[in-house]
Amino acid sequence: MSDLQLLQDLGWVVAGATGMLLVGRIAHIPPILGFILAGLLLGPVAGVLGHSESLDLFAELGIALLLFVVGLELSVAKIRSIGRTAVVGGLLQVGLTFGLGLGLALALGFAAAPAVLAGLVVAFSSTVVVVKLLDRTGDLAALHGRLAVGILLVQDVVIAVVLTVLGSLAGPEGVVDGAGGGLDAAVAGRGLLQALAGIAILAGVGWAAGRFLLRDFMGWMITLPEGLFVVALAWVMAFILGAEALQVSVELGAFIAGVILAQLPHCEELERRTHPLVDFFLAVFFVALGAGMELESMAARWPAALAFSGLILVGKPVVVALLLRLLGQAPGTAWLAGITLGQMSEFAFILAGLAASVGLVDPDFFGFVGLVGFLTIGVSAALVPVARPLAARLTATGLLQLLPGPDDPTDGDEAPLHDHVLVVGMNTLGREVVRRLHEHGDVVVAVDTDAGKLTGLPPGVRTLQGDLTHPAVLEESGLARAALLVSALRIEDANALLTYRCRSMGVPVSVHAFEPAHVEELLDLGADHLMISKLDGIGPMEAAVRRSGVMG
Amino acid sequence: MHGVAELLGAAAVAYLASRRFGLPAIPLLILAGAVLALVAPPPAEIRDAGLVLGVSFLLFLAGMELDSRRLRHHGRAVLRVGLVQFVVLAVLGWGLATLMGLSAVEAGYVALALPASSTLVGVRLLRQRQQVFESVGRLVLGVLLLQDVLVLLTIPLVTEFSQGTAAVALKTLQVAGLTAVAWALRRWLAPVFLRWVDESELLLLGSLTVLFVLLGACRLLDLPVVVGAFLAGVAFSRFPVHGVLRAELAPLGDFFTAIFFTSLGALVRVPTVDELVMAGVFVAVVVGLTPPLVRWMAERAGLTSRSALEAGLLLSQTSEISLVVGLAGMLQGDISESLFVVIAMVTTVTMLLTPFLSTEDATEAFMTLFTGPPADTGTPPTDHVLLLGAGSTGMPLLEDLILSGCRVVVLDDDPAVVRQVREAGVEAILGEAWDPEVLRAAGVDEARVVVSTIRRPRDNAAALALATGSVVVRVFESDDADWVQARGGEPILYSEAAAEALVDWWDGAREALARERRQRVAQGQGEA
Repeated sequence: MSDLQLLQDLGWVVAGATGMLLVGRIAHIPPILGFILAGLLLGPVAGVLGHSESLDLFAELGIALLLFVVGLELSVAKIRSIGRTAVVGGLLQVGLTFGLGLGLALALGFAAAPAVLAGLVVAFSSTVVVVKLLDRTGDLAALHGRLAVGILLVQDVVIAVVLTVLGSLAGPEGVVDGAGGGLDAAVAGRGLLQALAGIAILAGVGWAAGRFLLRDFMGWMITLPEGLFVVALAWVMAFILGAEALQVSVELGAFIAGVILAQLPHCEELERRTHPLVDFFLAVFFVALGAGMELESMAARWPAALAFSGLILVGKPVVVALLLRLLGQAPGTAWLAGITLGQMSEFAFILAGLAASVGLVDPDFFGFVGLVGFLTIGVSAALVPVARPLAARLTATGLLQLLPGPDDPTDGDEAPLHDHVLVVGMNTLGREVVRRLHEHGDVVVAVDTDAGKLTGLPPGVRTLQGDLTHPAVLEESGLARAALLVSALRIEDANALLTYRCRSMGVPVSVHAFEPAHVEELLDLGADHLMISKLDGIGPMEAAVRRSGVMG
Repeated sequence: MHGVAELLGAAAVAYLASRRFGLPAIPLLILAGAVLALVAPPPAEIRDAGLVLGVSFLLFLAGMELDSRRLRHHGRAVLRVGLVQFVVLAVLGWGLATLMGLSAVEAGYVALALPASSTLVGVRLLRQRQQVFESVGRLVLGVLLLQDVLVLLTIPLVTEFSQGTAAVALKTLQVAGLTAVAWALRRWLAPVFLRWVDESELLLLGSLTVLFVLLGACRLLDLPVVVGAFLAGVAFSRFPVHGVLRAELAPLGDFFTAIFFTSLGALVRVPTVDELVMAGVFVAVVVGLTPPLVRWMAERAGLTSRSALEAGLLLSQTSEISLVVGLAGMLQGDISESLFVVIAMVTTVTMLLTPFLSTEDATEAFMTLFTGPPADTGTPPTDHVLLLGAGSTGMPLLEDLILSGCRVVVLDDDPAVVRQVREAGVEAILGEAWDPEVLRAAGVDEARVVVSTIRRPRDNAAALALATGSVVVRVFESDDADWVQARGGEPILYSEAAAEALVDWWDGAREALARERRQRVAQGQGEA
């Protein structure tokens, strides 16, 4: 067909990403680093993957959807609980690390303008990398995860301002004369006002829509889930276009779109559906990032790049940890958030590109940023998954305890379910099983894709809305630790799949064989018990016939 | 970004309309895309990217549904109905197209586009009506699957048609080779893949790698990419691989489906009078011919008249695959834009008609049109047990009733069941249990007890109204139980009985299972 170049590019991206994921499993390379390496191999090394606008579009979509998902996970209560700390801590962190970066650059003999940019490179961490990593470890909703994401969002606002200022430098007045301190304060002020006004407008419009339009709408539309999903995607796109028009970053627009939906029913369903899209588009983003790097210019300033990488990997986490401790967080939480934020932001690439285009820095600067990004993102991707033991060691040094504050996290994690009985499908059979097992004293979790069917169950029964054949829901259900899974569903494929899953996890399973023709297959798959309603009902049926005087 | 936003916006409007009016989404998506192209046409490169990626994902997912378990029931009926419908409509389409002055190549495309029926529309309607597991559902699903395979594997033959016999033979060989590769992947790679991969990200990217590799192979062999996409799906169609993957891929499918059909709609321009006439003829052929043809074949294959007719009505539309065929033809320069517009119109109209043609009322009307009065005569039985439905639910009951020595009369709508019951020496009447006339012939008002095990409890309205003795009805859902009770019947909740049996089992098995599991864990740790 017509657009075969795009298919070919995507084919390389997907194959390269998969290849590096497989290699990474053996060589213990974190996926993000693997993707960037795949990009380096396909782009600068092999030369099969060039720059393509369609891939850029995919990468952009990936970032926007990622922020949408982050927003979807934040209810108002969660934002309130960390809002002040994130805003104060984020602003102070950006200022302090910027100062450290600027100092290091000047000490290394950078000129004024490159030194300012190098400071900015240090100041910001990568939302994409952090969210992706936290999502893998399941810490996105943990206290340190929320703090890290909060700080990242504050950084995003600052980035919006910086980009506005840099953009205005490219205006008719031309280039500033090399003096970093010579940036016009009025321009910066205007940029800040514009960004804040844009955010306020987006949030206001979204809040009004959420309040007055969407609440009933979500319940109405959920019966056509793929329709609801597409409508939600259009909703995100509307916010992205709005953000562009108001000169706010696309990420912030998508984030606000997510936060508003997070206050409504069925947002978990949307989150689950968006997830595979994010996985796919972000893989494109990281591979394209690697493919865009230039090896020669990366090597040009390697000593400086090493020094800056050290600052980002060590200096920034310490700054974040100290600030969070001062703001009253426990040492463990502060260290965890610090370690999480120790990498460069992908925004630094955009910044360096923009600065080079207005003549503030020489082209080699882009290679310098590339090497710093590669090193810090790579190391960070290896550190974040082991952040907990690392933070425990750092806490044991007692460094942060020199500052006043509580010693234990204020936010206790909910104890995970174990030895519970999962009952899937709230038709009459499922409800009856839930009722009986609950009376029987079991810890019962009722599962259904339709939130409406999860109402009216006995008090004390836990509920989980979603499709249990989906990995994310499976994880949430704690199936691996369950005592039993019961599926009352009348969906042949789902029952077979659930049986298979339970079998491979070693969890006892009882399935509804609503057609006697399924019995054999389900037993072959390893079901421990079958509910064959058509046979189980014969007894009561015959009793009723007998009561009417036939059958002796 | 703006182009994507436009397409998604149009798709969102289409889905809202789909939900509001209960119509299939695809024709509405096409219409929304066409309107969008008039108001604010999306950039051509976004539209084309949407088409090529959309078609790849659509067929990848379609290929994944090629589960042989779907053909397990009614396999012979599926084969007969599917093949006859395909051949008759293809020949007729080809003939009509030639008569209307189209070239041989264009007529070939029409012959492929007309016989395929829509999986997306059919499955949705079957689910809504909870008929997936009835004979009609199994037949329709099987036929749809057969059609997908037939159309996709013959596309390369039609595209090479103008190049002569040697080229067609070569393409046939290439498609056969690629199919063999896909089958080998399905047999050996996919199960290993699933055992080895436990992360959703790798699952997603790994399966997409197979998709892109087969797309690349098609490009090297100069085959249409649609064939590669479909065969890549086939490589993952084995249980449980496709079930695990579907959860990962479905959202990508939803996204690209929305983009694909709106992009496709954006290609459609306002039709001319000639195109409208041609589309009208094709619509008439598809809608007018499919139901009687399928009904005739299905009835001969042993389905009841009603199921056979329902299947025919559900299959009477052209498919998303027809659009793919038209698009491939236009992009390849084999068919004119005009014919593409016609195919798009035929698909949009027939898909929109299906929900109306296949309603309960419409089916009823067609039934009286096609069928005469019931042939059963003779005096109705008296003082008997009337068993409505002797399928998998009724049969065990029937055995016990016979053993207890009472007079039993069976009423069932499945000729095979009726034959079997008669062979066992029990009186049996062939007919529908909701039909008052049939019920009277079965002596419903003289029966001591009426026992109903039919699938849809609410089809018992007539029996409940006419019976003088007690009516015992098998139900599964509690609201059906309330419905039966309100009409004076005695509902037996089979679901309750099954729940009781489960709890009894769990009481006894719990300790043993937990012990077994602890042992396994201990063993696992020992090995590690």
